[in-house]
Amino acid sequence: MGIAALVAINSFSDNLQHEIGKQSQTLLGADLVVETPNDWTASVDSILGELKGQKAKEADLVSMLFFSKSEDTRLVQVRALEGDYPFYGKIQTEPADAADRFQSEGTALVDKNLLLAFEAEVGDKVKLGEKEFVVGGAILRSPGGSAMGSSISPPVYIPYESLAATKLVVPGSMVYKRRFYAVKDANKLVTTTKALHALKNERLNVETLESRTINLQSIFSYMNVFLNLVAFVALLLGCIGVASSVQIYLNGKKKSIAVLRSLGLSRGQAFSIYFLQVLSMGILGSFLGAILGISLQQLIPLVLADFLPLEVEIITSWSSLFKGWLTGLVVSLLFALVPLVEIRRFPPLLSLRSGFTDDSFWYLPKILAYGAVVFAIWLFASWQMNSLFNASIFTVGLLVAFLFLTLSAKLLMFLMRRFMPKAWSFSFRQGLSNLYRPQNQTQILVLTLGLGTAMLATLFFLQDLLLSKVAFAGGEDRPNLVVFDIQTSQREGIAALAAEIDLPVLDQVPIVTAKIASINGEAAELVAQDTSRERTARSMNRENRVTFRDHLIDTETVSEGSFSQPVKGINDTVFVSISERFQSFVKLELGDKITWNVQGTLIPTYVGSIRKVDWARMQTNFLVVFPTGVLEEAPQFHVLLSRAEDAQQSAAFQRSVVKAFPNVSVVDLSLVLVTVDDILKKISFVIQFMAVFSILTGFIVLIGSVLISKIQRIRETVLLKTLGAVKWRLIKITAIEYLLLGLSASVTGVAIALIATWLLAYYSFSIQFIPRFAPILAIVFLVTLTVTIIGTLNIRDIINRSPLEVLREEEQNG
Amino acid sequence: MTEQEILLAVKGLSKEYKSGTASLRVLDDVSFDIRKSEVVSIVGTSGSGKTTLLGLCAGLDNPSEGTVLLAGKRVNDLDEDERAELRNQYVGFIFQTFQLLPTLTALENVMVPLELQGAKDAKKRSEQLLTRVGLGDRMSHYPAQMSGGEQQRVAVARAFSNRPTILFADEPTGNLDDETSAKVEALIFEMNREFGTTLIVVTHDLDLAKRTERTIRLKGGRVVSDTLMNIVQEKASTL
Repeated sequence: MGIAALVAINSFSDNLQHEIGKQSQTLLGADLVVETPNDWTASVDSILGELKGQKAKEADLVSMLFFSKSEDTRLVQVRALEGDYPFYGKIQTEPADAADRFQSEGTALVDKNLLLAFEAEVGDKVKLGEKEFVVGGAILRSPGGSAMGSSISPPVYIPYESLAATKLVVPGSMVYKRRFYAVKDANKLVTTTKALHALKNERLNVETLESRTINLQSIFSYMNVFLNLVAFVALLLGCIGVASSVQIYLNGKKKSIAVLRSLGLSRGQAFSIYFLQVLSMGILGSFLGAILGISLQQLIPLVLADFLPLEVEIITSWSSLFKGWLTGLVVSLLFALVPLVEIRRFPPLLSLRSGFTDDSFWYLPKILAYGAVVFAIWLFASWQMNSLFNASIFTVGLLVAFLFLTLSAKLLMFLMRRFMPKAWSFSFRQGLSNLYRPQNQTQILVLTLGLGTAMLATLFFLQDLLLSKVAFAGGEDRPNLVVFDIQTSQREGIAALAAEIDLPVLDQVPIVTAKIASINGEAAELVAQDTSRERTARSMNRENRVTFRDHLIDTETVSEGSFSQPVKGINDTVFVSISERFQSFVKLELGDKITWNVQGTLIPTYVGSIRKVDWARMQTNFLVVFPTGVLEEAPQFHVLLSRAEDAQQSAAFQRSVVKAFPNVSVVDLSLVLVTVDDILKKISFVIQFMAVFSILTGFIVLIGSVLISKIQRIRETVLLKTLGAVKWRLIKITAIEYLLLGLSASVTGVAIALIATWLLAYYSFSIQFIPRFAPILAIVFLVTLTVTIIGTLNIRDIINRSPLEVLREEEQNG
Repeated sequence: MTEQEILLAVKGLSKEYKSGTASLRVLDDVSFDIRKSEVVSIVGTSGSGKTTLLGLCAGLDNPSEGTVLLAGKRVNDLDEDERAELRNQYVGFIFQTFQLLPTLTALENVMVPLELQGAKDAKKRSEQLLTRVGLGDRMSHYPAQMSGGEQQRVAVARAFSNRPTILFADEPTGNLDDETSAKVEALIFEMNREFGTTLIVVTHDLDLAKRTERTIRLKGGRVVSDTLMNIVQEKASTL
């Protein structure tokens, strides 16, 4: 299974990379795309003006789409287009020629899923801002767009010339402007790109076919590395199973080996006999796994469908097949070496009398075999991650998990041996004793099942963690409706609309755009030219959206200084509060002077406090907060926060707001939450799809271990039956044993997952992880139940066999 | 012989094994009765059906034809669990290959039948039995750590641990050397007398068979003789 997963992922990845290279032109739709949130400057115009060939332009902004028939509203990505973009490929629509006609007909192209969701169709009317459009077509796929992107903000294309009529673009609106060029002259493309990159003061995003291909390939290669590591863990679990099977197989062969040794076979020859057996099985098993992987890769495009910006043609990647096969073979052989080297310790005396052999850990060949396994894991991780440090972290993490699970198994055995209550019934004591008696399966099963559980649980906890960060919309008294782009003149009107349908106005936040004019007397233009302070320089060019208030909100705490007091008089010093993020961008300390340019008026301020802001929470958070008494008269727009009790109330408010104030947008955070939930579910589905390989491998190992131990179980069960044990008692004994195994593996696995999630939450997401109790219990319950059922089902046919038949076989063999 | 005295009644017992289209009749119309406290040997050459007969008498398998009445119960009519309970209550076993549970210590092996009965003093009684068979110092050893003779002595202790009414011994000395065989044989007969158990020994060892009161001889799956000669011989030799 592990090899199948590796081959499937690698082969698909090869196909994907090949396809990205092949389709890069259609992914970008042009040879050069330049984007800016600001107005085009003369210097950019002069560089781009030199380009000949096809050109197109687009304005991209977020706004509310109003469905005239149903009167529903939805936040969408408005793309006002002029020109024949895309130059390569096309916007796929229904009807097929809608993309060619919408600009001349003045219609709108709307995302197909959005039309379906609102039961609208081509020919219906929709309204953006103050302009009504006829839906000219349904968008199936736009250049470089994926289904996942469309679910966040569905695209709506309108003709560029219609944008003005919508009146959506007002001062302060966030509009991304793009220009598209078809450049046949490769040299010209290079010189233009270089010239654009040289404009450090411009906030430009320049994309070419080459950069888009590299970007996409690197994004998918990250995904490939991640999925490969998940597949590799599945392979490792399988290899633990291989090692366990070889161990049990050799236990059964001890006597034969001892007889051969007595007859003169050397230790090396004995080792070679069984090594060759394992090698041939490894070659065959790895080959079958590789063939299965090639078949499985057909499923991957279905799993990743929502994330892929292109269709991938699936062909067999022979290099992936070979690499997967070789990796599987080498790793499984190394794992098998651990028990195989024990052959060298089997004394010939075993042919004369049975007894326990020396199986202590401190045996050099055994230690070397373990070392080879660890080295192979590290080598594979290095190859995949291309980073020795990350590979070392991965290997150490895996070793720690192994150690943790091994200790847990040992602890379980110790506790059972030491504290087994003598008064418990025979079935209980027998079942529990099986956990530590000779030839027990405790360690191997706790290890494989625990690791599988740890992987799945970590994925689940991470999903839960990320969801919990946006789940505040469901909280009592939390705002779940955000109305933005409100002009000062519209404030009262919108508040009145809210009051009409009993919606509370929880907060109204004023927003003022301001640029930094100077820092500690140094002009922003000079700072912007300082190439040694690139990040600070970029901050000098931004239009900052600031607010003013005299209190902290619940996503903020002051980490340095004290929060600004209201400014009473014109001569008062103005102390602003900056966020830690802003401080890191602009490199400021308490008391530093910042002069702001607010719509042409210069306002000198000092840093009075530094705030820690929880940006992960969807709130009206700001980099810079002014005190009250300074910006009240400045040009500003507002954000209103409210809370709707249900979807109907929210929809009614959105309808009335969009009808009365078409330029205003409303975000329903409950909908955002649902969308985020949906995205996370889709992401975790992809990850879980891979984790299923691990779980399947874990269960195959479980079933394998149970089946291998069946010979021993048959004997024990039949003897107990012969001595008078009834079926129910035999089932009870087995169920108790596997219940404890499952419980121990799942509890340890979940504990590892909790630690891993906490580390990821702390170091990668910088958020606090507070685990919920119910999912933990659910995971432990499900794993334990499955292990118990599989373990118990195994003895079903043993119970039904005639004791005499089994005993006779024993006598003949024994 | 009255009905009450009969502990085991075998009537018209046959057993046929099928392998594909071929069938092998291992036992053919075997009938005999065994009284309480009787000591009987079943003898015959290899493949004569001795072990199969013993297994059918103890309810370890189903006959193809015929009936087995053990301790007043028709074994054929009992389901698997009822037979297991019957064995636990009335039957003890000694096997040629000892058949100790390899993952249990000597003491734990002896305790199993008592534990299955729910006996509160299982440990104490098992310790006494192991001491009685001379293994008081090997109680915590696993079978793999013991010699064949020691393992069979553990098996003897286990066989008597539930104070069975009837003890089935299948070639109990077949895997032991002469000296150890003699010791184990002596132990079985001694304890049998002590516990007043009915004893059925399956063997091809005629010397062992001679120590029993009655010998049932099997050949080709049929009873060819059933004699009380041994008692006559024993009585004759004591006169």
